[in-house]
Amino acid sequence: MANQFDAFFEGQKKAFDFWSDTSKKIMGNLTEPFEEKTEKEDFLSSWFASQKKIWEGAMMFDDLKKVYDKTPEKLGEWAKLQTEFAQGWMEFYTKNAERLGVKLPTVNGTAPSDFFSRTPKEWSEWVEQANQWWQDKLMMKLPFPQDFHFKNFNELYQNMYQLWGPMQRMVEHGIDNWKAIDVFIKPEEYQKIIAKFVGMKPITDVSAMLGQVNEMFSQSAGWMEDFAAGTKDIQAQWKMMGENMGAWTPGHALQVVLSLNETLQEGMDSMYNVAGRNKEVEMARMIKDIQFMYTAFVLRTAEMQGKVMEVGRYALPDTIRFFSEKRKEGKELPDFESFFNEYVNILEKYMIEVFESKEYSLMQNEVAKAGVTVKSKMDQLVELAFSDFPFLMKSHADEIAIENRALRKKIRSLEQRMTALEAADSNHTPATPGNGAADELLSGIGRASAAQKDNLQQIRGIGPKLEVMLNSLGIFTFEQLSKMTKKHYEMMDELLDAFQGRGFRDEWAKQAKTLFSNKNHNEKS
Amino acid sequence: MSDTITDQLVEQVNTATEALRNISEIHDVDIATTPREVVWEDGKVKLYHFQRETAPVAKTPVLVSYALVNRWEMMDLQPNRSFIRKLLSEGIDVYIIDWGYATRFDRYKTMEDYILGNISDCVDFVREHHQMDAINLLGVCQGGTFSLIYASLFPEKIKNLITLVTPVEFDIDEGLLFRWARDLDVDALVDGFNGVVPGDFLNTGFDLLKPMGKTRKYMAMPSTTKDKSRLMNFLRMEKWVADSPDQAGETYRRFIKEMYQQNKLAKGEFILGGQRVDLSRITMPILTIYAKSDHIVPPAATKPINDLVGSGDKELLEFPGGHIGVFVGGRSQKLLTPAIAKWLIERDQ
Repeated sequence: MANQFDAFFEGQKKAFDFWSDTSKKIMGNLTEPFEEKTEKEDFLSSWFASQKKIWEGAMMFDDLKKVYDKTPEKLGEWAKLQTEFAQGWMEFYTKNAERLGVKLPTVNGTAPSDFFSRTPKEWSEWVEQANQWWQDKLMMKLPFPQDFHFKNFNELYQNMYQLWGPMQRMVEHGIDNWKAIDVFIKPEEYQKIIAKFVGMKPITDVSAMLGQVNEMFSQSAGWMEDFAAGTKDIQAQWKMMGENMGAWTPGHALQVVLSLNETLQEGMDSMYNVAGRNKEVEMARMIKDIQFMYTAFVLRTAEMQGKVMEVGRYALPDTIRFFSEKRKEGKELPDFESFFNEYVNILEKYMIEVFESKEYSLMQNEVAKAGVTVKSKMDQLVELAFSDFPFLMKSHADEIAIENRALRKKIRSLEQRMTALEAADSNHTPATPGNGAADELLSGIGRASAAQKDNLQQIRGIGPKLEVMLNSLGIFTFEQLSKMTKKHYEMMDELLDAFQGRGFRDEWAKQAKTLFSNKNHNEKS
Repeated sequence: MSDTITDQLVEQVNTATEALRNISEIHDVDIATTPREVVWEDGKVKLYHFQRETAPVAKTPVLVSYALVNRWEMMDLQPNRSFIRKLLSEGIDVYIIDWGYATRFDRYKTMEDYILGNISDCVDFVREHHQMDAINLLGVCQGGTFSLIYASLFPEKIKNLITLVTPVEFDIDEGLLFRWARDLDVDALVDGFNGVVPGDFLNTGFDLLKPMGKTRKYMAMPSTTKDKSRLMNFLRMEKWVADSPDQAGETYRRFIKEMYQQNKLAKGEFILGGQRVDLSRITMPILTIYAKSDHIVPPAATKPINDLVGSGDKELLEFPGGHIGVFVGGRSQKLLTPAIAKWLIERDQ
């Protein structure tokens, strides 16, 4: 008897430690001083003390019969105390959790402060909702598109968990034949699970999907043909589509937004009049092309998915077999987590085997190709519809990109050339030795060194780059340039392969002569 | 696993309490926090210089050329596990090229533009800034392939070369990417995507290399969220993974065709800007680092670098981990970055 009470107190102490630890953590995180600290610590201590008192009270009787008689009463007292405590603590927790910025999830709109009165079903609902709450919080912190993957995983885990009941029994009874498993777990459900694992949109019913695709495209192509035949008023059609898109019921405060929307709508009307006009036949033809491309895409995707599903379906029976064998060896039944872990490992192994095959690699390429073909044809369709608009289209952007590319190449070659010339200049090696043409030019106009350098940019027509180029030939002074004749200009043009005829046209010699004489004059005076 | 239902419940509530608090406390997921300044830029491409408080031990700076796929922030994901920060603290002066985000206007940007344009400009900038004839170059993954090409064309400008998980031998059967790329109709793909290959498309491929990778990561979520630093690591990594730039079509087309499909670089047949790229012209000291369990660039793709270069001073270094672990793992901090710094300092004279 006493031993049982000891065990019971042990449990109580554990719970007491847990609650008081959690409370301390909350208190510790409050930035403001915690006013009710003493009171709450007392609350926890008095809870523990009251419990002790109840049980000590129950054990005081020396007659065992009395103890038995009093037990229901004492149990009642204890249960009441527990409920009071739980409620008190939850209020305390709720109040302070809010101060911390932690919002507690609610079940059906009520705070979870009365959780002892809940049924196990309500409890599990609460846990589920709390779980959902933190998942949502976490999702908000995740960047796009990782949040999508996370959501996908959660659904997957839930789906698998729903199958856990039958799977457990299959392990227990060693049912590892996939045909038998199909009876308990529908292949479509299972297919959805595998598709989620790899982030595919599962095509479970190819013909149904193709039916939808065909209907969708035929309808669009039909519209275009109708427009072309003039059987429907194109303006009215587009307007209707536009209005449908913009239709919504505004609240009182949203009148301004609505009127803005109407203004925009009116502005758009003229656009709808022109979009696609006179191109209906061509557009209808393109839509039909896309229809078949899309069909090919669906079929190839289904084929590729089928390949993965084919091996994927063996992963579950093999996982069941794995744990059945273990059970035969006397091991315990796995919990859901270990089962799920092992299943994931086996499934991955099988998938990689498929991925490594040439067949899959080729299929994957076909799917990617079919997908981008649809996409690019859709782009063309949109461009065609809006080709009469003053919009910058993707193909226009491409023209700019080509131009951009050419300019980049040109700049690079000029930069390289300039670097070479600058290097030549800084080395003071006017006219590369052995360069007969430059030598001949310099023998005509005279030689000079970088030390004698005039500011050649004073001459109209000579900029910084040209000056560097002239220097590289060994031309540094006004005096040299003043001696240039038509013959020398031609030699220079040939040497520099640039600025053809500019020196002659801008009369560098004449300008240089003036600058040279000014320079002399200034130096003398 | 705990014994009783009560214990399990207590554990669950405890975990949930921690998770609630941790998630509520996170406002910003910050990455790439090492102070840096832009010292050069050309359009979308930027050159960063990381700031140091002390003079570097090695006087020759190192220029990092990251891959075009994904972002360089991987090398500075979080302060206590930052490859860059560690390199700085080991006494190295670090520059890195940020390729920016390619858009439609970059669809015709070629490998010449990247290597002979951007890398060349950055190397020249750093050389001029430090008044040195040659600087150190560290190439990461595809950025390493680019670095090898650059160094073989301009060996006089590179003092020491380091390649990290860099593919050069593409004719291998290890690694799904290498198998798949061989069957890829890259023309149809680049044209179909109108010249800009979406980053998400590449990510789908990377995800499939370890089809259950995401599942395992999410399975660990309950224990991840109860530990704030682990939760931050997770969120930083997620942020990095999701930030995948689109690829300039012409460069992608050429890289797939001439590297993955024709293995031209290793065969000595690759031509850039009219010049044949001969890896044996690389004669400076070279350190080739590969990751033992790399499923993206397997060792077989990386190790041949050591045989193809003409350097006398060459070294192969195996990292015990995967492609990403090279940059973010604890072992990277303990083993790899100090080894790189030591190797550079020894060859600084």
